[in-house]
This record gives sequence, structure tokens and C-alpha cells, in this order.
Amino acid sequence: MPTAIVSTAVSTDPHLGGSVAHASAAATACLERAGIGPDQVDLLINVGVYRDENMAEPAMSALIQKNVGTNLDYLRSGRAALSFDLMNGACGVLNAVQVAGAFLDTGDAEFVLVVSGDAHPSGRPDPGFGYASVGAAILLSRTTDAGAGFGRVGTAADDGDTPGVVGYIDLDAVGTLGRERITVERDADYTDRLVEFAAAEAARYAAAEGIDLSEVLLVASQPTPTFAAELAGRLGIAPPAVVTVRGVDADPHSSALTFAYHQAVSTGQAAAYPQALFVAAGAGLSVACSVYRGVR
Amino acid sequence: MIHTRFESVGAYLPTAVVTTRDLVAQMSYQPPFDLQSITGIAERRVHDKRPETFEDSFVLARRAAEDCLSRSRYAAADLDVIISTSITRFKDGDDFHFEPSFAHQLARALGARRAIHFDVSNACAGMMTGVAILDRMIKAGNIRNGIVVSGERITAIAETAVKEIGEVYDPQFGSLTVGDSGAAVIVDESTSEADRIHYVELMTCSEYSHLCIGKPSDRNQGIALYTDNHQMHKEERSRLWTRFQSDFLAKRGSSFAAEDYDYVIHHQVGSKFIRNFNGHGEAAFGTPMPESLSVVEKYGNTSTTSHFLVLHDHLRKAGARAGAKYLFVPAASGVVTGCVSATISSLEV
Repeated sequence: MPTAIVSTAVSTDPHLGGSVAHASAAATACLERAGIGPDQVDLLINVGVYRDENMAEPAMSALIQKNVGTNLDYLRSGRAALSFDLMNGACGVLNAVQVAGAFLDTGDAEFVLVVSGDAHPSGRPDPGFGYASVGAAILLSRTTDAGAGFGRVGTAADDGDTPGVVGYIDLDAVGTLGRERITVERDADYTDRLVEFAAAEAARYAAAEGIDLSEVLLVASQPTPTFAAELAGRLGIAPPAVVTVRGVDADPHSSALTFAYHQAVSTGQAAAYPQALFVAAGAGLSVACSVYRGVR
Repeated sequence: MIHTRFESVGAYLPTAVVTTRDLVAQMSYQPPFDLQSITGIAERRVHDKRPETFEDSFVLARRAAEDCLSRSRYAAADLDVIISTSITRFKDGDDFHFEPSFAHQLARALGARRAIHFDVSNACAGMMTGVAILDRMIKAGNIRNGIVVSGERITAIAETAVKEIGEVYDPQFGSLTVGDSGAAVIVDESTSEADRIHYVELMTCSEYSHLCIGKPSDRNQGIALYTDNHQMHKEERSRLWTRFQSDFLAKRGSSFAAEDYDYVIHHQVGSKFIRNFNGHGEAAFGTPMPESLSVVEKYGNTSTTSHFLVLHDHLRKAGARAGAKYLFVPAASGVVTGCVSATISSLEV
């Protein structure tokens, strides 16, 4: 049975000071919208990349899971749940759909909560960072409707010599400020390369899956403000059928696809389309695509 | 029904050895106890620090993956998935990377051009989490094979601890137990009971997620790990494993004794920790523990790679034995625990 979206939610409150707080707020709202209790979540996957204080351990998912209230202590709950971080930039949420689908198919999970949140490690805005401090959550389960839900997730990696974007802590340079500093470098030709690569992969995916691009809602990530429009132009998709995140100044990064889809459904923009094509692209270069049928 | 197996296992260990006595001698604060006798760790491997041959997490991971592929039926180009699970994400010296994913960069370095790639972070349970993901993806029919790889230049936290430990209950004492390494494992479909993963069951009990935190130090350059050892290693925490495994086996109509494991491999925190876990297991399951395999004395706690370093070491010394059944017990910040069982008859290292 295909994997379907049960509910989505986002977190944009500027008073929330970090990736864990944003992801937790979105996760809680997502479960409430679905009418699902935290003890019904079997698997929680966090696809956020940039962490509070540049934390490397434990998985941020464990801290988020604690805030959500899922399997705090098995000796008391008696109901197990697993969480982990899965990191692949904006593409991570579609990799999480792949992983969630496998756990749902094998009967190892009934509900999988995929959360995301990125933030500057200092907890303060930084104009050079380029990523928005927001969070998102998407609750997945199986659907009995064979014609609905996510289709195959297609992924591709570029063979180019440079990854386009690198994000790292230069520990030699930051001294005792390692919890507050992060370096994100973007190549000058990043946007052009990314649009070209993503368009080629999306077109290849659509052809392989038999998708008519004139009938889809394009849900695109937002590595640059013009990415979605340029991608749509290359694919011949009309502007009204293009969805990207509105009202957020910087790149929502790992939250971008969930965020864009959430807005499209909330505003009614998605209602006219029987299917959506999710396309994420980012560092590597990496691209991930998936069709989603039964948008509502 | 599709089953899975460990198709190949690889490891890489740096050649430089640092003894616990030498490490403690570098500390400005001298502990009032013998760290070696408490932990059972005599020495650990430490990455090559010479600029021309520097070994960072990425290099350690790549060498382990190359070792794993050298005995696999698969070439890198045949891999459907590559999952990198390093906690320490050092690349290009002291740069600690967040993107692009380590998995993407490893895929490029190895030549796994068409593989689905992503990183997984789940503290010391990272590799087991990667195995759980591959196990489910293969069983769901989505992929045919995949590799989980991890390189850990984790002695970076020991370097910080040596400088900063200032009292007997310091939260960085555990950082002195770690060692550097790389490990990799390929999982694919099993067609014979002689080589089969029976289950990969993991859980996170998030109440205790704050007890062990790894992040950059704010007192010195570098990364540090802060552990509330008293709370982290309370007996109640070890009951999470035994209760979870008991309940899981009961649902399968089985029991620890009925599983008839030949070997148990615990997370390699220290020899006393392993002894305590076995003692607790024996009491909770009401049956003797199988032979407990360990490398903690010579490699220390290598974090994500520990179970597979033990397996690799065991297979190298003793060779694979037909029908041998292993139980792997993860224990990680989060806290993550669980039970992983496999019969391994024909893995060569």
C-alpha cells in the first residue's frame, strides 16, 4: 500500500530560538491536526541539518521526540518508538519518505512522523547563513487507495567537481566559539547548475513515471528565491501550478518541501491538481523527486 | 518473504597506539583512580596526524568501505544505497561538515554513482540504525543492497577532555575511553538460513536524551562530549534493553534461552559496563549469557563502529563458523537500545 500524507504543520514563530524548538512545535501541531497521540508514533525521523550549538550527539530527533512526548521511558510507556536524524539537505525529506515507506510496508510502523528544523547554531539570525529558522512536520501512514500517495522516489547525484554548497565549522578558525559559528559557502554558479540538473532529473523522472507535467502541481524546494520559477520554466509548467515557500526570507532548507506543500493545501492552491510533483535540490549536487497523488 | 543478511564487513584501524597510561599522563588534573583498571581499556588507536597522510573521519570511513567492498560480490557501482553514520564529521582536517552529506561525498569517492545517499545520525547506534533502514528497504522490495559506513575521528573529544577535566565527577571522563576507527557493512538479500539477519529492533527512550551531549567546547578549540555518567548508567537504563528484548521475543513466541545465541556483542563502553550488562541480562532473562565478544581492551570505545569492529576482529581471529548466531545489543545516547540478531556462517575478513 502506498505511503500517504496524514497531516502537515509548520513552525515560524520568531520567538522560538532554535531548530529543536521549531521542529518540536511543528511536530506537536502536526499530530494535533491529525488527531494522533504522541504514543501512536512508531518512528520519528528528523531531516534537519543545521543544529543548535552545532550539536553532534545525540540525534536531534531524540530531543524532539522528548518534547513531543513519544516513548519517554519504555519501562513506563510499554510501547516502543525509534527516532533518528537523516541528513541530506532539502532532499532529506524525500529520503525520509523512502525510509518511512519501507517501515510502513513491512508492518514495523503505522505512523511515521518526519520533522525538520534548521537554525544558525548561535540561535540568532545571521545574514551570511542563508537558511531560515523554521520547522515543519509531515505525518505519514499507509493508504488503502492504490491510486493515491507517494510514488517512487527518484534520486540523482551530480558528477561535477564541486558540491555547489558546503556547510561546516572551521574549528581551526573559530577557537572557543564553535557553538556559535558556521560557515556556508555557495559557488557563484550554484543556482544555474542546480536548476539545470534538477530540471533534467525531474523531466527524466516524469517521463519514466508517465507523468503529464501539464497536469501537476510543482512543489519545489527553495535553495534560491528564483529556483522554483526557473525550474518550472525549464519543465514547461505554468506559474499558477508552481508552489514554493512564501513569507520566509531565506531558504527553508530541510523544511522547504513540507512547508510549500502545507501552504499550497492551506490556501487551496493545491485543490485544482490531482497530483503534485515534489522536487528538491541542493548540495552535492543532489536531486530528489517524487509524485504524490490524491492531494488534499 | 524477503530476508536479509550481512554480505560483507570491513574495518579500518589507524596504526598509532596511545595507551591509557600515556593519555592520563597528559592531563593536568590527575584522577585519584586508575582509569585503565576501571574501564578495562589498555590502549586505543589514534588517527594519523601528519599533514601529508592525515586521517580524518572521511578518510577512515572511505578506507573501511574499500575494505568492505574488497570482499563483496558487489562493486561500488552496484550499490543501491549508501548510508554514512559518522558522529564526528571531520573532513579536510579540522573542518566539521554538515553538507553536502558525507554519504554523497563517499559515494563519489568510491564510485557508487547511482546509489541513493544520505547520512544518519543516531549517536553510537548510528550503524545499527543504518542496518535497520537497509533491512526494511530490502524487505519492502525497494532496493537490493546497500552499505552502511562510518569513520570516527572521535579521539578529538579525548584531546579536549585531557585539557579540561578538573574534578573527579567531571562529565568529560568518558571521553578518555574513545578510539578512532572506521567500519562498513553491506546488507543484501538472504537466500539461506546459514546467513541471515533475524531481526533489527531498536528504540529510543527520549526521557534521557539530555544525558550525553556532544558539541564544540566553549573553553578550548575542538569538540567535547559531556555525559552524566551516574544517570546514564543507572541499572534502570540497562533494564530498557532486557524488558524491550523480552517483550519482543515473547511476541514472536520465543525467549532469550530459546534463541540459542552463540555470541553476544555489547556496545564497547568499557569492560565493567559489558560485565554489568551481561550480569543484568543473565538475571533478567534467567539464563546464562552466550560468549561475550569484545575488543574494548585494545581499541576502546569506538562509538558507531564498535559492534562491527568486534565482529570483524572475531571473524579474523576465529573465522566464520557455520550456523553461529550473534546477538548485538546497542546502547547509545538518546537513549537508544534494542536487539539485533544474525546467523553468520560465511563472512570472510
